[in-house]
Amino acid sequence: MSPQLIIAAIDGIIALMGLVTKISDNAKQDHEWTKEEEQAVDAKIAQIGTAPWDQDTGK
Amino acid sequence: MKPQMKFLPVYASVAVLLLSACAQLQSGADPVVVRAEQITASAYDTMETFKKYEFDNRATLEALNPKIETYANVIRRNGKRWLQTARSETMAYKNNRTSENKANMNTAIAVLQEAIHQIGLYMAQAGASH
Repeated sequence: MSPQLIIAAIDGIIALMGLVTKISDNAKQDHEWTKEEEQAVDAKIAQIGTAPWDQDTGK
Repeated sequence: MKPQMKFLPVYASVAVLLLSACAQLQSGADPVVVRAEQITASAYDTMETFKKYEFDNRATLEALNPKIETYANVIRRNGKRWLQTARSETMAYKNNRTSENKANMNTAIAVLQEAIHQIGLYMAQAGASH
């Protein structure tokens, strides 16, 4: 068992716990998005491609 | 290590269950639209989490299962377009609630659901491949 594997495992658990929280919040939506909510989501989507983890490795 | 990584598919399953749990809707809200918007938001969160997780642990995950990096790149190449298509089709349906627009929206949302499903599978493979 390497330290890298332990780090990856812990990182994965933390990431997935955060994701579960976000999806749980999404599931609580009880209305159609307002214009403001639509714009906020569209703005987040528009930002995709700018983060370091968005870089395609070509594989 | 192995027991820790085995938790990954468990969390993914929980996420799917949470996604399928619908809140009591406000009066007048179209459940088809609300569900489409919920899935769009969750697809965004899932894709971003997966890309960052793969980026942060690339060397380790590549050794465990190279397909994880390959699918992360599929998301990098297509995820934004899939989300934008879902948004535009949802808006088209909200503005004109015809059966044709509804079908187009559902098709776009199905693409996002499949991406969420695939990401769950690859995360599960990461847990099972060592």
